Amino acid sequence: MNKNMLKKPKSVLCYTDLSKNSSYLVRYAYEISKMLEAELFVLHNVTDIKGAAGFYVPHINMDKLEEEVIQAARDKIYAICHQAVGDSIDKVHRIVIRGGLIEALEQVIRERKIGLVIMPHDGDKGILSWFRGDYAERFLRDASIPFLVLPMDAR
Amino acid sequence: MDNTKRILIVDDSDELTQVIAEFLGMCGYSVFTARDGIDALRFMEKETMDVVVSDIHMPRMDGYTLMTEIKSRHPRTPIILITGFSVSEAQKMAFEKGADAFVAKPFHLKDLKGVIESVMPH
Repeated sequence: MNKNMLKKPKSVLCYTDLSKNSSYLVRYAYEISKMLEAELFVLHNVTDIKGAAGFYVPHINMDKLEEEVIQAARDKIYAICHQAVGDSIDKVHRIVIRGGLIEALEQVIRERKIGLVIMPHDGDKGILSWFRGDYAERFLRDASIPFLVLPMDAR
Repeated sequence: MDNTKRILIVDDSDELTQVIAEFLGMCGYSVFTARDGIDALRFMEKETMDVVVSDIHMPRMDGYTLMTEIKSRHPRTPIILITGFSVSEAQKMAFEKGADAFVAKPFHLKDLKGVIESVMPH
């Protein structure tokens, strides 16, 4: 896609880290989506600890613990969306993915044909702290869709 | 003022501390991690914790020693010990040495959270 071409997005992706002001972020993303008449997806990624490390942890079933983390993330993302906009964001549009942030963003952007990403500003560390490493920086630099970074303390 | 409760997880398994930290973070806690007792004590020289959760079997300094050190320096900080080895003996020794709670491995994260809440100062 031509980077300079202005195109109204049909789908918006809101990435949340599930931190305490996330309902403000989701509310903001919801309003933007309404203005654009676009479909809104809300995403959180859960670290794929076992997949990334692959170590055996004595006495612990890491698969079960990770399932608990994923379920907790699903519950939390529901609570955040509900607090933000009631039942306006259904289960299909609340996405929890196991894996790294970049991989999760890439997957949802590709599968849902996302045209705009909305993310929280990561406090003092700035947005680039979300995108550590060469691969992540390249992902941001080569992105063909806009990223909107919302300052969370502006609330 | 930020009233977020602060929890220190001490375990030499990075995978386990990471999964616990991620879960407790979602529950609204500020979670910090240390790889052993020495790292934990060094960290607690600078930071105040509301609860410490520590494995018993760790390199350099075990959980019992860590607990004794924390109790002498921060007597009001509750400590939860966890282990999967010789659970009944470990539990007995943990309480004799002053643990506020004990959790046996394997555990469910929700159960661990429940134990943390039960010892958390209000």
